[in-house]
Amino acid sequence: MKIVRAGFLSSIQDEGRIGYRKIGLSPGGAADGDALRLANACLGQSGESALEMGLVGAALEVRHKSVLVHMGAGMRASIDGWPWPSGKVVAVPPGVTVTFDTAERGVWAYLAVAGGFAVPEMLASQSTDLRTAFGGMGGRAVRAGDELPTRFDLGDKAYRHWARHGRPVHAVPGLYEATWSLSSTVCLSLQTTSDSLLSDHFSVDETHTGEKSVDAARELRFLRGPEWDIFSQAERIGWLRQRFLVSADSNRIGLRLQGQPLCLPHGRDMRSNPVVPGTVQISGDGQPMVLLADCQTVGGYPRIAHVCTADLGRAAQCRPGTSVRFREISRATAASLLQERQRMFHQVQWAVRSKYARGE
Amino acid sequence: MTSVDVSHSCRWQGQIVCMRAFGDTGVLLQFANPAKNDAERARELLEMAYQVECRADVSWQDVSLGYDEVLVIYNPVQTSLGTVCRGLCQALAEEKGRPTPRRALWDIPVRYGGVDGPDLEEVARCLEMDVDEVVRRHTEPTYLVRFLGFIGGFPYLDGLPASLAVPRRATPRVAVPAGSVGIGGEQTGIYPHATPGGWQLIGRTDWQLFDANRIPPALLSAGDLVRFHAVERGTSVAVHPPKRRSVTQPASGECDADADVGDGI
Repeated sequence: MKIVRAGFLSSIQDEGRIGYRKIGLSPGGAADGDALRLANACLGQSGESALEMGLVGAALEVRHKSVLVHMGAGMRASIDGWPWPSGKVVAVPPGVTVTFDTAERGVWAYLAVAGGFAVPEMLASQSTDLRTAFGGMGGRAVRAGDELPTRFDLGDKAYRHWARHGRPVHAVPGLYEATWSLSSTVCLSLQTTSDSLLSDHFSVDETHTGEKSVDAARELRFLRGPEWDIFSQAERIGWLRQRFLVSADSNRIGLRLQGQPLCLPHGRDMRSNPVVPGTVQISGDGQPMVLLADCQTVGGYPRIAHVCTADLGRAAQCRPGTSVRFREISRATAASLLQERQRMFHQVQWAVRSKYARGE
Repeated sequence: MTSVDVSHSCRWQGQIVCMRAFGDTGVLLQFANPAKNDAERARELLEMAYQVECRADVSWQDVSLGYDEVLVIYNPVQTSLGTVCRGLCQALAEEKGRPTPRRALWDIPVRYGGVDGPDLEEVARCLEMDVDEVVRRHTEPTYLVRFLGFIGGFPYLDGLPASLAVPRRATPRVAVPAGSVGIGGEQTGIYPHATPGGWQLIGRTDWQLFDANRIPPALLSAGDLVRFHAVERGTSVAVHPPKRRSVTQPASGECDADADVGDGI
């Protein structure tokens, strides 16, 4: 696929580079790992890399027959003018142009392709490490003119398969759409398994997904961090009660929040110690920062909390100006949320596979 | 109200190691009574981390190191906090064949000043000493790599003389060239590749500290020792550093953690 227009920040990402902290590398990978996993699940695959696009998407020229789906921030997209909703798998012929517009509900959208992108694996991952500048497409965001390699043998096979089971889109010759779709709001609001996810038509009604409105404060569930205790009770209550606004200088490294500043305890010599995506640090100005995929392996600010892993994707999808509040949960709850999430990915993946194996 | 309950504690070399849950994916290991002396603290933490790495269970995804803590990351879908803590206690309890970290000593060639160290004169002015004195004091100590972080291969070095501490630049540079050697506050370090940075740049080395295509990708490892020596501009210096040499012999216990820290460059 050739990049015609790169968008705001588009890069190849997979589920991250696990196990390299000792050489200073954070896992990185998709900012919203849930959206990436769901996109892959829609194609009946798992663990493949996708093109991550932030806020404003890319435009791509399709070179070979491919099967594609996009998922995440509800990005408006079209294929040669045909409006392409997120969560809808399509089989596309060579020569068409896929155009992504602006994100409507979140920040990060994922364009997944059957068979994945064929960029070389470096240190066990295809992810672009933008900070250490390697992996993906030469360690950088994609640029206009880049040729994103795909496995066109697999693409061709997948195209024939999905075209046979899909519906032709008459406006674009050679384009087929699946007879079902997975709503993108599902992955923005993945809180519990939605039964309708596995309904006959595979369609998910947006009203079933629990996200009331884009403007409603997004709740991030957390566990206490190692430095929770160093804040006074009043500070902790303030932290729990207030709503923070997502600042515009948030990025893949972290979500910067703004609110009533927390008073930092004096006279504590903080030295750099481990942090992970999800760790909430209170920086020098008393404002929280929720670390995301590209965070460092160590940080020198008090770690007041950790956003539970199940809510990391939702945190990453918070647009600047979104209001955010924190709610404490137990470790057992955090674990069961993750188990449930995992089950859902398997269900979608399994359902897609079995649906097509039945030869409908 | 306690922030995070101590899930487990166990003994290692006569010391009590506390294990605390870290989010929903990690276990944080700390000494209950860390040594008062920082060098001693560094040594015990590095040794403990090394033993954890060597005895790592397959369900542990990663081990991360800071100044005072070791973090073990696990996949909560595959295992539980309790299982990981019990595994860690077992790993630390093993006395037989306790592995000794293999430390390398790196003598890194640095061109000080000029285009390679654009802030050297400013640093000298700020410290009220001449440029040669700054270089002499910077090349004098043997530094200890506490851990790698910030970006891939970036060493957090212990040992900068207090007399060389200078504040960071008021405005960070948009791009610090790869190999730049800098001072930021009480720390000194080497930028493995071009990145934005706020440290005062005093010199530059041609050695590649990080190369994702190399095995191992990072030249330095936690526990290694580093010395800088000044070379003249125009001196041809090998881009490829010499092979890793251990200054401490591996004792009885060989470690898997060394498998990818071998000699291949």
